[in-house]
Parts: sequence; structure tokens; C-alpha cells
Amino acid sequence: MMKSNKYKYIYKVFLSNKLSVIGALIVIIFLLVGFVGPFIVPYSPETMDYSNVLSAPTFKHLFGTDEFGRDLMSRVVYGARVSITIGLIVILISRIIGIILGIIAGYSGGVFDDIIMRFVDLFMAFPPVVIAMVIATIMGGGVKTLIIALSISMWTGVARLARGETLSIKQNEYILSTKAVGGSKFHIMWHHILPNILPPILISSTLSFGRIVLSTAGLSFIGVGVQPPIPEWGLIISNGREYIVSGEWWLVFFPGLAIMITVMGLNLLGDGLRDIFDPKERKL
Amino acid sequence: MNFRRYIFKRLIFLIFVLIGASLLSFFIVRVVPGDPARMMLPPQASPEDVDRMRIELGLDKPYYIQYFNYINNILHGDLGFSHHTGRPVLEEFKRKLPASLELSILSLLLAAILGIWLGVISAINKNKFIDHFARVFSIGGISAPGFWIGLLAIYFFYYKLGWLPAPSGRLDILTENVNQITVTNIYLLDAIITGNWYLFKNAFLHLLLPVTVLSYSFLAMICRLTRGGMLEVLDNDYINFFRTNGVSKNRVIWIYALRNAIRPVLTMMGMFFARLLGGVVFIETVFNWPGIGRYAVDSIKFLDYPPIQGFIIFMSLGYVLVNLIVDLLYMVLDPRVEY
Amino acid sequence: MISFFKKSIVFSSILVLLLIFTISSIQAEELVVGMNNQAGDINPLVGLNIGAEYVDINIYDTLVGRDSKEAKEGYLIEDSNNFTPQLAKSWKISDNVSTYTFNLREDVNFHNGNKFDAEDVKFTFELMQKKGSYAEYFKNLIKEVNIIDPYTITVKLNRPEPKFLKRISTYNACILDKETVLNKAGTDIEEQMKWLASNAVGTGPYILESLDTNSVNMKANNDYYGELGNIDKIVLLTISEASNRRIMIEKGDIHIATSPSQNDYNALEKNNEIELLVRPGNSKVVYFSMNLNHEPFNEKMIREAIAYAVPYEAIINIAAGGEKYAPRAHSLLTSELHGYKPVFNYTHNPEKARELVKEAGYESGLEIQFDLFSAGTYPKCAEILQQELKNIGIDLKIKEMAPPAFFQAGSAGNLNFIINSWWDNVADPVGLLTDLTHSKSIPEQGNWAQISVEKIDRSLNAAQSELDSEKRAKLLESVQELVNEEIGYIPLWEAKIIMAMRKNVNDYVHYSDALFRFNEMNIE
Repeated sequence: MMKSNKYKYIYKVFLSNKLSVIGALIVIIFLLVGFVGPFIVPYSPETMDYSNVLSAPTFKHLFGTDEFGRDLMSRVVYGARVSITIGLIVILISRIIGIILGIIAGYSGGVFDDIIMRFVDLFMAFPPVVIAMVIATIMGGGVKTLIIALSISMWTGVARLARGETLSIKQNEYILSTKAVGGSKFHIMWHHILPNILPPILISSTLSFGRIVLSTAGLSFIGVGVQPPIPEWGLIISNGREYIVSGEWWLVFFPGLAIMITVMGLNLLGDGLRDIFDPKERKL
Repeated sequence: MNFRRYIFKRLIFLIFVLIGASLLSFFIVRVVPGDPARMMLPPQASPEDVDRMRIELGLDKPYYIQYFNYINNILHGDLGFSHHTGRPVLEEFKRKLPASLELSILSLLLAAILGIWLGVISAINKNKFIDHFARVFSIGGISAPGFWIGLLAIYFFYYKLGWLPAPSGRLDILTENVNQITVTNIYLLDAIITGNWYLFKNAFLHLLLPVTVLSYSFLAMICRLTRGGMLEVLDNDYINFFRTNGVSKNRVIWIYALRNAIRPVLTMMGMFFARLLGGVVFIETVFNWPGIGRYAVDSIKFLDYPPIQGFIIFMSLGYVLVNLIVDLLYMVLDPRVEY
Repeated sequence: MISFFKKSIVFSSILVLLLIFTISSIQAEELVVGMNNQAGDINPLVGLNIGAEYVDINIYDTLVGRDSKEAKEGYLIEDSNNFTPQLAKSWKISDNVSTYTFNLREDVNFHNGNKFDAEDVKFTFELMQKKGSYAEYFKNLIKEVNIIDPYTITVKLNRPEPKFLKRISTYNACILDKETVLNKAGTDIEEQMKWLASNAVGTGPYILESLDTNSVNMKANNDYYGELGNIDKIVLLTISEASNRRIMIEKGDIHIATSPSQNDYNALEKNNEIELLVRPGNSKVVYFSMNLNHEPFNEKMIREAIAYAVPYEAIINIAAGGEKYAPRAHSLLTSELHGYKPVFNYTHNPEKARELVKEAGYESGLEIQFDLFSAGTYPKCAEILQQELKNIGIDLKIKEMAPPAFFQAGSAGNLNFIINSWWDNVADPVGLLTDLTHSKSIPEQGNWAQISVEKIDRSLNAAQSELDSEKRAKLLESVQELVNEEIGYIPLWEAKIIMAMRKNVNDYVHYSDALFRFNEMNIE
């Protein structure tokens, strides 16, 4: 099949899965809101309006205002940017670490494989929350802590995946012949293995993104993640928690809704992509 | 033979993890900026206290001796003193662990039972209403943050509707009977053992919301996995073989098909447990549950290091043990698995 | 033959009646308090937090108790000039106010049956000088404790101290049972402190039943020699969310909710079944403080700029619940203290602030670190300050610190820019100003702004020994004026003690230590 036909085919299959389409749309909106949103929101997320604190959603403030009179919608929009930024950085770092270690483990086999896989098991022994809390103890809270903690807990899955893919590609005739001709290990890994394992890793990254958004929100909620005044969704919920009882429900509702819709979109999209490229892993 | 070697390998791994965890917790206190002796003590400690702690920690001695003392203490059950609660760390763990266990085990049970059931129903009624409902429900479960659902649940069920008790912990205010009764410190069990209906009802009502909220995301995951597994299995020829041989539809679905479809769920059990331990932290915070998770968060807030150290070791131990148990169960259930 | 049906009716009605009876009798005289922190370490010498102190003041007795009177607003408060007999049935003060002789009650037993006598007092007072948050203070104050006979004891002080009775009438001077402590923990002081952290055997009106993270249970000591109200049982619940405390008191699940969120003040006031108590906060002022020895705070213009940048009204409204609950502070002293002068009168003026920043030479920007002790309402104040300073060109970096680290850094003089509050246990204005502004208090005693002005030191020294109250007041006024010129401290509001109490709880007296004496209270 010609390349363009292949993509057309994928495109058609993708479109036929309604849920994936919805997921893709949500993700596109999420990215738009994150990148473009901050430029078009009516208020700054930081400007305090002392005369207008804790006001319910109105036309002037679609999501209402928080305890300092800041417009909640603007904060939620900026929050998208925060989640995207943190998500991309964590994914980048964890994929780099995971791919390097995974390829080495899969390709070299033997002792390297064993050692690296033991490390993978070791790191998987700690839930991300525990890792984050430990790092927060040492370094204090904050974005740096959060990124380090999440990267540490997420590289293991990538490593496993990269290793698995490497193992199956390794036996490829193309590789064997390159070796016979005298291609160096590094050359093989970089030019032949890496490009082939990227697609499944990219797909798993979509699903991982969702987990990162959730973890970021959760860790910020309990206080070991992002610090004020950064408008991260989990942090906004944490600040709004004390007001839910006096009836100011919007502070908790809207950021949480944003989290849920965003993660849902990422999950649907990820599922859809996986269904196309790797039907045997299909879960839905 | 293989089996024995397998167990041996796993135990070695367990020890490996424990050493790693103990090294981590040992170094945490020494890596943080500040005086380690000062940090292990409450804020009102006097200079003499600090000096004494310095000797106790052996800070003047070389690292390996300090580490040896640390391990030695742990093996003798001395995990240090938790200054923000005024009790030894080990005692706090003993008090709080049952609370977290109660939450986790019940959540996992609920998630497993409902999740599997929903997954099967969804698969056999593919694309009908119940299937769509289950899929949307599951997607919601893995996308919505647990603490958010918890807050909204408290708002509706306690504040607005008044159906469930306040998030004041495991029991209502009338806790007078509890101290005499607790055997396992898991209140539901204790209530059954001692036949205390009041305690049972009370503990149950307080468990209802946190368990439901905590189980939601796992329920969703298990449902999805089961549905996927069932769909695959139901396609298989041998299923038709059973049917044509007159085995009832229900038997086919619930026994033969399910047994094979369950495999991915079991594989994930270990990971579920790790995630569960993480989820417990949020739920305990939102519902004021006196468990290990909230204790850990509080310890970090107050920079109470001994519990943090204990927590690290404990979590890793717990995780590896649980994984080992799950794998052993797996071996029992599926004789085809090889090691 | 009675039919099965009839038998079951009788049986079930008896069961129902029993249930109603037990439930109602359990509910009757039980008081439930919702507090925001767990009690934790209940060692009275430690005084870890107010939850622990609630326990101590009711389980233990002190030698003397505090008296009450009616304030002009109509509620009951402490009468600072009078003390009531507790474990001491009478006492004599020497003419030079440095020797106190106590005649002890002879009919008192500890909760475990041990007899109370002078040995217990001596044991307690000696331990008080060795360990705990007031150890230094008592060690410097107390010269010696002598047992004259089993029920008479004298305490000789190193200097005249008219406030001595006030100092020993609260949680940190709770009388311990020497016999029990030695029995249970031996002679090693560390072991004793550890035992006291989670055990309490006292002579007080309540007995400790259980101590847990989530709750403390106490029951009435029916053999108590003193006054007992109708409250049989006390439950102190740890409910860390203010919103939960509010829900529970509205529903009647708890009788008292401490530290309500300022957001709830209005709703609680409007509630017919609840009373929102607003009581004097024992000379406590909340302020921003800047370390004069750190850059850029050594530049007075920057300090002034910040003083103009603070939005006083907004901070009080948003972070403290409004002027009604947190009146603006115009000095480091509170308005009811003798010698108070409203010296600090800066208003929110961002333009002036910006000008001053420019004049000081920081037009291109300035970065300042804020050390935040993240408790209660302080984070909100910090966020508001951060925003306002951003508007005048200052980038405020907020660094959160846990309580132990914060106090450690403070005592070492390392804090940069903070929000904090200070108060004096006996509400002595001279003591308070000395702690905050005398150069000898740098840094451990409390002068974290590191103000060092000779005239201030001299005036405070003079005020310390000045016996004439008018002259003392004049000296204090001049100190306040000088402190105001320094602008090391930016006073924000006068802290009040605010709590919600259901209206059927009666006879609460607000003592200056803000602790409940439950045996004086009654439930309707």
C-alpha cells in the first residue's frame, strides 16, 4: 500500500470510532485552551478584586470568583497551560530515561537486562504519591519536586515497553544483516530500533499524560505539588475546599470538571489510537 | 525445583528492596539541609536534647556504623518517636494500619466484585444501553480525581441530603465502647466477632462513602479489563464448543469464559494495590480517616522524620509482599503458568 | 399460651425502649468539642498545642485557679486580679513578693487513689525547671522549693514577681503525681517525659479515658473536691477541616467548634442555635515583620514602601473575617492594655509605594523572600501581599516552612520577611515590647525584626522597674512611637479568640489562656 493510502486508511478507521473522535476533540480543545486561552481570557488569573470575593457564576464571571476575587474561569484556563507544561516536561524526561534504559536492556540482554529490570521493579514498588512525598520532604514542595517525582515514577513503564519492543525487533532480519555488515551497536539502536519503537511509546504517552494530570492535581491537592499562586487545578480545589460547605461550590466544581474532561479526552484518544495500531491490546 | 528457585529469587528481591528502602530512609534525614539531630526532635527541644539525640544517632561515628545501629533498632522494633503525635512510631503504625487496611481491602473487594460483574454484563450485552452506560461510567472512573468525587459526595450525601454521617473518621462520637471491644482493630470484623450490632452499623455507615469513592477508579479499570477480556474470549471457538454441547449459557459465561478473561485483571492486581496505597492518602485526607496515609501527609507537613522513615520502609515491604502473594495466587489458579 | 406474635411485640418494644433509653442516656450529659488539631503530646510541660492543653487543664489541677468576672459586654471573662483556691487552699505572699507559701488541701487523691501532698508539688516544680517550653523561664525565676510539712510548701523566687500566681495557674504548672511518674517511668527524665506524653494521672475534675489521633475521651471524676457541672463526659474530636466543624456544629453533632473559618462567621451568627463567641485574644497582634539586618530591609524607604503597599482593609476582610472580628491594629500592643498608643497609621497607597521603591533605586525590580509559616490564615495574607508587591515592582517569593523549621530559624535570627503574632502569657505590655523590640531579645527572645535602638532599650529598662503605672504608660508610649519610626513591624490586626458554641452550653468563662474549664460548664 502506498504511504498516503495507509494514512487515509488509518484516518478512516479512526473516524469510525466515535469515542476516539470525541477524545481527540477534547484534547484539541484542551491544547487550544492551554496555548491560546491565556491570551483571550477577560481577566488575569492573578488580579485580586477585594470587593468581589466569592461571587457565584454570573455573566461577568462565568465560573465565579475565588476568595481573593480572582476570576475562576481565567484561573482554570491558565491551569490548562500549567498541566500541559508539566505534562510535557514529565513525559519528555521519563521517555528519555525509559527509552535509553529500555533499549539497552532489550538489546544487550544478559546482565544489563537483569540489572535494569531489577531497577524497574524496584522503582515500581513505590506508588507515585510515596515518591513525591519523599522528595517533597527533602526538597520542599514546588514544581521542581513535582516534576522530578513524577518522572521517577513514570519512566518504568516506558522502559518495559521499550524493552519489549526492542526484543521483538532485535530478531528482525534487517537488524541481523546490519550487524553482519559491521554496524555498531549504537548505530543500530539509534537508526533502526529507536524509530520503530517510537509509535507505541507515543501512543502510551497519550494515556500517561492523563495519569500525569491526575497525579499533579492530587499531589498539589495534598500540598506537596505546585505552590500558590500558580493556578493548578488540584491546588484550586484544595483552596476551595473550605468553602464548599458555605455554599460556594463552584471553586471545587469547575477545576475538578476540567480535570475530568481533560483526562477523559486523553484516555479516549489513547484508547482509540491503541485500537488502531495495536488491536491485540484492545481493552474496549 | 523451579518453584523453589522462584521463591528463592523473590525473597532475594524482597531483601534487596528492603535494603534499598532502608538506605533511602536512612539518608533522607542526613541529606536534608539542617541538623539531623535537631530534626528528629520537637520544636521545643533544648540544646541538651539535641546533644543527646546526636549521640543516640551516632552522628559522630562513620556512616556504616550509624546505618548498622539504625537497622539494629528497626529489627528490635524501635522506629523512633513521632513528635507530632507524642507516641512511638511503631505504635502509631499499629494503631493506624488497620484503618487503612479496612479501607483498602473493602475498596478492592467492592471494585473487584462490581467491576467484574459489570464488565461481564457489559460484554455480553455489547452495544446495548447497559454497555454504553458501563463504558461511560468506567471512563468517568478513571478520569475523575478521587478527592474531587469525595468532596462532592460529602457535599451531597452529608450536607445536602443528610443521609450519611459526617466525615469525622471511622465512628460516630459515641466511641466509648470501642476500646474494650477491639480485637483486630478492624471495626467491622470486631463488631461481628463480639456481636455488637451498633458498632457494626456505625462503622459501616462511616465506611460507605470513603470505600465507594476509593473503589470507583479501580472498579472502572477492572470493568474495562474484564469487558475487554470477555469480548476476546467469547469470540473463541471453544466457547461455541461448550454451547453446542449443551452447557447452559450462564455456566459458559460465568465459569468458563470468565476464568480466562480474568487473567489480565489478576496480572494487574499488584499494580492496583500500589495505586490503591496512593489513593488511600487522598481519601483519608478528604474523609478525616485516621489511617497510615494521612499520618504520612501530616508527618511531612510537620517535618516529623521518624514516621516518614518508617513509612518508606513499610510501604516498600507491603508492596513487595502483596505482589508476591498475588503471584503465588496466580500460580495456584493457573497451572499453566511457568517459572 | 401467649402467641408468638404477642411475645415478639413485647420483646421488640422492650428492645426499642432499651435502645431509646441507652441512646438518650448516652446523649444526656456529654459535651463534644471539635478542634482543628489533634491533642498529640499531652505532657503539660510541653504545651504542644491547645488541644493538649484542653486535656491538661481538666485532668490536672494547679495550685491556684483563676477567678472570673463579668465583662462590660456581658459575658464572663477572667478576673486577673483574683485567684481561687485549688490544690492550695490558702497562700501567703511575702512583702518583697518573692516568696510564696502555699497551704495545701489534705483531702485530695489522684485519679488512681494515690494521696496528694507537698512531695508532688515539689516534684512538679523541679521538673518544670528542667524540661519543657517554659523550663528556661522557670529555672531563672525559681530559686528553691521547700517542703515545710506534708501540706505546706514554700517557693522562693530569684526576683520579685507579682505575676507568679498567674504563671502557675494554667496548663504548664499542672501538678503531677510523683509516685505514679516514678513508678511508670523511673528516674530518667526522658522516660518520664515520654510517659507523660500519652498518659495522665491528675487530681482534676475529669479522668482521661482514652487518647487517640481522632479523639480524646474524659469522664467526670465523681470524687472531685471542687465544683462539678452537669457534664459527665467530654469528647475532644480532631476535625481538621473547618468546613466539617461547621457542618457538625450546625447539625448538632458537636457542641463547640474551635477556629471556625472566617468565611463561616456570618452563617454561624445567623444560626439560632449557635452563638459565635468573640473574645479578647490576650494581647495578641498579628503583624508582618522584616529583618532589618537583611537586605533590602536595611533601607528604610523599602520598609516604608511595603507599609504603603499593604491593603489593610482587604487583608482584614479576606483573611481575618472583617473588622468586627479582627480590628485593625495600630501598635504592637492591643488597645485594652494600659500604655497603648495608636501610632501605626499607614494606609494602602500603591502610588506612594511605587515612588519610594524608585527613590530607593530599585526601579528595575527587586526580589524578596517571604518565609511563610503556613497555618490558619497566614497563607492568604502572604498571597495578597505577593500580589500587591507585584504591583509596585517587587517580586515576592514565598517559601513555606513547617512550624519546627520556622521557629528554629526564628530563634537563630535567620527569618527574612514573615507574618507572625506574639503575645505574652500574662498580658504584660512591658514584657511584650521587650520581647519584640529590645536589642537583648535578638534573636532568641523574639526580636526577629532585629530592631536595635538605644533609646528603645533604655525606655524599656526604665519601664521594667517603674512602679508608677502612669509613668510606665508614658515610657511605653514613647517606645511605641520609636518602634513605629523603625517600621520593622507592620501591625495588621488584633487577634481575637473566636469559636462557635451551641446555645445550650452555658457558663463558659473566657480565661486569658483560652482553655475550657469544663467542670464549670453546663449543658441545658
